[in-house]
Amino acid sequence: MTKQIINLHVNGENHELLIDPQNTLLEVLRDKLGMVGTKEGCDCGDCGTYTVIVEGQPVLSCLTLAVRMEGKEITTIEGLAKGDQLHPLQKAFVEKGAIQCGYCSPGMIMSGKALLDYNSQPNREEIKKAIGGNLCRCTGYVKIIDAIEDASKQMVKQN
Amino acid sequence: MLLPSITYRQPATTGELLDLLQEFGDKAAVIAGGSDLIVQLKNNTASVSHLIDLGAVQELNYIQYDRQEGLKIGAATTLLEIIRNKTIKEHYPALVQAADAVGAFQHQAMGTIGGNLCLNTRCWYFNQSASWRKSRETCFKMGGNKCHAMPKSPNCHASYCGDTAGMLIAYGATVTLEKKGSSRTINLEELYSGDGKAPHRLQPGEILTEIRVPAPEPEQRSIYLKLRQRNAIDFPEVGVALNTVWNGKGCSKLRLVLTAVAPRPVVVTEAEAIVRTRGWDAGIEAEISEAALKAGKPVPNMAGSVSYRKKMLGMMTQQAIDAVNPAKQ
Repeated sequence: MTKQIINLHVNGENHELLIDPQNTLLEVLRDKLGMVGTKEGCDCGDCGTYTVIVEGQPVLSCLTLAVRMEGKEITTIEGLAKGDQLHPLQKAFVEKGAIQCGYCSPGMIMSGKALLDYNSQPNREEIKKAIGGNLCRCTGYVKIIDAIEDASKQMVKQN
Repeated sequence: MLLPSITYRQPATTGELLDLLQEFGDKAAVIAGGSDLIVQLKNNTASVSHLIDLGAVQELNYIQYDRQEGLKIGAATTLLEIIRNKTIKEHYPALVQAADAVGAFQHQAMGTIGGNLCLNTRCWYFNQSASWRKSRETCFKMGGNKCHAMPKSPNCHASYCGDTAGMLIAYGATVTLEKKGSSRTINLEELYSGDGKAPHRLQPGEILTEIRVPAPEPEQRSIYLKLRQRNAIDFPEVGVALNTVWNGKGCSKLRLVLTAVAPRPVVVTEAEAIVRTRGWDAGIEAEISEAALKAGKPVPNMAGSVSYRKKMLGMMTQQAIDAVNPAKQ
């Protein structure tokens, strides 16, 4: 089948790319744009390591065709920090010990961001619900929940 | 896993979409959220060369409510839009429960109500990669001659596992099915064939475009309960959708629909009849649970043993009745 040109708007920048229609957003982010923060885990929607934000919503980039993303605002983990300044979520993950091997962390943070962008003061049950689609084998989840809770407080203070 | 080569088309309107479906015939499938279809393409359990984007058709994404007419939802409306809709939460709270039971945050953001209703049936032996399935004889659902879950059976026993269908059927929903040149509206339960291999009664080129739910009756109380291994991601091992109407004497109307215990959502007609003919009395709840146990026939094709799922089916039916009974609040 024929390749086609798409424009992907990722982390505020436009990228013109030549892709196959069957390329997933995950493949394009990692292999064509070199953005390897978004991870390949189970590749079938059950682990959440490939979570990115599209138009404000968390999506499974391994199950999303890149060709459907023309004109949509995409945010990956690489888009959170402003230069050297970490996003409050990233800072909280580091400070609260919510990162061990780090493989689930980008997906967890993106799910957390999608939650906080909608609900800036979630309770712990709402945080658990938001990260329900993200698996972690290392931390036991408590510190991840603590980190998102802490980040929400910091973000409310900042605003 | 890499996807096979495909051609992608993005129609702007429903009309364009139906034209494309007719043009490409069985070489094409519609894609909405994609959280089921893309996995099937990776596993080679679905085989199409053309994907037509239903999710991009804006005119199929809407939620409208009218006090007399009830609720109308476009097929491309996402589950998250339903969950966050205050009107649906007020008038059909159990539909919000059911939509919120699907998958996890990401699946709800991507997945559509139409896609959830048209979810393919599932089975341990079907929902596997091509290399896994190569180690076994081809099953009925893949065009072979065996059911691995029920080896002595001549039929496919793949289970219907969509969470929203049961609740919408319990609410008395109808759906509009369109293909180029025609449109029909049926009760939602008629969409399901009961055949694990071809679970939906959709004609070639036909898609589900709209769901309509009647206006709620006074004292309508409903609930959706889902049994699954974890609190997120997993499909149901048992789903119990209950819609009831109450008067001073007790429950006057009841609709109970089960999920994950057959290749279709199972309407427990016996339970409906018991309430309709006898009215509400002591012991009726046990009879309704009995009726549910008779109607639901889980098979060993998913997590959770058959005996456990059957036990839970009875208990969840009782739990659901208690939850909606005003006398027990």
